[in-house]
Amino acid sequence: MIKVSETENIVHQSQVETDSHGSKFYRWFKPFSRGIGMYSWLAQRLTGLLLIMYVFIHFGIIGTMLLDTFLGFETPGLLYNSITAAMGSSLVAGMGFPEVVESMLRFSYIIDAGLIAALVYHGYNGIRVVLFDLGIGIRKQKQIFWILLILGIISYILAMYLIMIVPEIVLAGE
Amino acid sequence: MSSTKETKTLTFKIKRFNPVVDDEPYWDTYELDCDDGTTVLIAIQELIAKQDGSIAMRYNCRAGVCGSCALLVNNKYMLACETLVLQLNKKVIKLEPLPSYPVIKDLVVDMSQFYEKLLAIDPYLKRDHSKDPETEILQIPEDFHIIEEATKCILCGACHSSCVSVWTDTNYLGPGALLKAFRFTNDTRDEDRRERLKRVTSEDGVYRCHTAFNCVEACPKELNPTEAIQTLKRQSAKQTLKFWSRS
Ligand code: HEM
Ligand code: SF4
Ligand code: FES
Repeated sequence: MIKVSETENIVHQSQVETDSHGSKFYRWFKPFSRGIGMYSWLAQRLTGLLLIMYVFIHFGIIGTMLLDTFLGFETPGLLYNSITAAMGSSLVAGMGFPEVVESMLRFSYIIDAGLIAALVYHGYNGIRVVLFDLGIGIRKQKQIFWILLILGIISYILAMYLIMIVPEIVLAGE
Repeated sequence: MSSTKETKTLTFKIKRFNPVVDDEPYWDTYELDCDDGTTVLIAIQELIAKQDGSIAMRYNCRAGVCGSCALLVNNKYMLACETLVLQLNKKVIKLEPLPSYPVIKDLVVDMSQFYEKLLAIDPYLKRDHSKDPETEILQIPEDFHIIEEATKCILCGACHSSCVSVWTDTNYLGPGALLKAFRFTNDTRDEDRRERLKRVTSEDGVYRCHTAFNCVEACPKELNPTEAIQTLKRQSAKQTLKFWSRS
């Protein structure tokens, strides 16, 4: 049986952290032989972490609903109402933009646009990964990625239409 | 052989590193006349013979069988002996050792971490040899077909070098060893399937794979270690479920 001698291992140990392509960290950014598979996985992990961060921010904001009552303030809901009011205000208010633009560039919409983008990507690519776990489409992984990406973009446009345009139409009709 | 040989002068950039004397890797540049029969390996051999005898390179079979000559050619995993330089269609050819292995010298890396993983999955037939036939143990074509692609692995270590899960957990068995594990687990002549599946279900086994497909991009033999790992995942999950439903 082949056995690498102990000393040989020690001589080269430091090189595993830094091979001839730089440090272990730097290696991730070198473009050798990699494709959609790796980038989609990285994006899956990053969007997953973003979603976890969002969940905690969400808990925090929803939590303020009860916080002022809990603290014994006179006006229950003040904290929550002022946060949501601030979120609903336009980023370009008073800058002379048309009303439609002003209402579309609300702080909450911008955040929702990012959140939905992360969620749509994570969800669709998640389906792709689950398919691989079921043994489906492993040799067609790139094609499946592009198909799901197109579906994701369509879903995204639909979602944006529903949250940004439809409320304006409803409000205008009232 | 064509009588009119196309000849071109190409530039070779070779990443040099001798960890015993150098602090940092550096690039050396060479010019060489190449024709349509020149492989990357032949080019390196000519450079060693005629220009710089200090370049270190490992090779053996020169025919894409032994797996000792894998390296990065212009950022792609390739076998030096199977890659024709003119077909790369590049004026400058950049040669680097396999990433994530310790460099011994220049293009030669220490692959012991890969071999350790390979030994860990017992890469040989395990069966009760007392009942073996006098001649070879026969296998019907349908049974061989299941593992046919996996048997083509030449153990070049490119996939192990490319795997993000290996980068984050050096104990992970990795795509190369797991492709071998698949090959023996699904060999109908093998009698150790249960234990083999148990072994790859360990903490450093198949579930470390996040299907990033870097191994598929890397493999110079165009094999699919990811598919083999996904099959092992399902087989080991089925075995574990069966175990629970019995007890
Ligand atoms: C739409 C529903 C969802 C689907 C279909 C889905 C699917 C998946 C899949 C299949 C993975 C595994 C990727 C891998 O093996 O590398 C994953 C990873 C992950 N997911 Fe989700 N997910 C969903 C929603 C969420 C939500 C709401 C969160 C956060 C609260 C989340 C957080 C994460 C994180 C942090 C990872 C990274 C783990 C890793 O890379 O292995 N996911 N998701
Ligand atoms: S699977 Fe491919 S890349 Fe990996 S060791 Fe075998 S031949 Fe090399
Ligand atoms: S020298 Fe054997 S595979 Fe290239």
